[in-house]
Amino acid sequence: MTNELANCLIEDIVFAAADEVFSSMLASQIALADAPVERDGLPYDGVLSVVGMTGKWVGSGFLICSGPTAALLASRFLMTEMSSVGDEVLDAIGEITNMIVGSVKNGLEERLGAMQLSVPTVVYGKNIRAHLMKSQLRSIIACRGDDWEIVLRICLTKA
Amino acid sequence: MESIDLLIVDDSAAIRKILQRVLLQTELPLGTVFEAADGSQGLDLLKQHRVDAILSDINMPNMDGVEFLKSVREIPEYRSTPFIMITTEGSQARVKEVADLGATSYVRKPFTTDQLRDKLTSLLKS
Repeated sequence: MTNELANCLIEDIVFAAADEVFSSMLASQIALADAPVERDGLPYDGVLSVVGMTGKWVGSGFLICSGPTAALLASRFLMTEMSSVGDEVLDAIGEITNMIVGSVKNGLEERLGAMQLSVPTVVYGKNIRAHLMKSQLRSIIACRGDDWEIVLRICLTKA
Repeated sequence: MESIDLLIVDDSAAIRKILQRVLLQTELPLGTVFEAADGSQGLDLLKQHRVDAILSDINMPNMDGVEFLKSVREIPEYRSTPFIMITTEGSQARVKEVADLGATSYVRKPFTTDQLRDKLTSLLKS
C-alpha cells in the first residue's frame, strides 16, 4: 500500500472516529471543513491536545482548536456551561482527544499492529506553534460544527 | 432494594463527572459514589470503604486498569464484585484479556448516555 493511499484511509478513519465521538458524547454533528494544510505550523492562540501512540508504529494524535471552541465543546461534553478555559475545560478536551485517538488506534491496529496510547497532554496559551517531526503516515483534517472548527492530525512512523 | 455504593476510577475528571450523571439517570438506589484518579488511589479507597460495584478505565497513570483489576480480584471480599471496564480500548484481545482477569463487563468509549445507562442498570440491578 502506498503512503498516499494509506494517508487517505487514515483520513477516513480519523473523520469516522471524530464523528462517533461528537455524535454520541457531545450530541453534535460535524462535517469536513476546508483542508487546513495551509495553516499547518503557523502560530495560533488556543488549545493543543496530544495523545501519544506507540507500538510497531509510533507517533501522536492531536486536537487543535481555539479557546472559545474548547469551552463550547467542554460545555456540551459535560452538559454544564463553561464560559472560559480552565482545568475542567482542558480535562474535557483531553478526554475528547483520548476518545478520538483511541478510536483511530482501534481502526489502525488491523493494518499496523497493536498500539498503546499515552494519557493526554493539553496545552493552552498564546502563540502556540506545533512542530512535528517527519512521519511516514500522516493525516490532517478540519472538522466543523455549527459555529466552531477543530483540526485533527495523526502522525505515525515505523518504530 | 438496598442502596448501592460504587467506585469510579478514571484519570479524567470529565469522565468521572459524566459517569456520576449517568448513574443518577439509572434510577438505581445509589448510596455513596466514590471517585479515584488511578488504580492506586482506587485500592486505597477500597481499604477504607466497602463498595458494591466498580467502574474503571484502563489507560491511567500510576496503576492502570488491568493492574487495578488484578489487585481487586486478589481481595477476598471483591472476588466477585461487579467490575465494569469503561475504556477507549476496543481490540478483541484486550476485551478477552480483561474478561479472563475477571472483569464483569466492558463498555467502550465513546458511548451514548442511553447505552451506558441501560448497561449499568442491567448489570447493577442483578
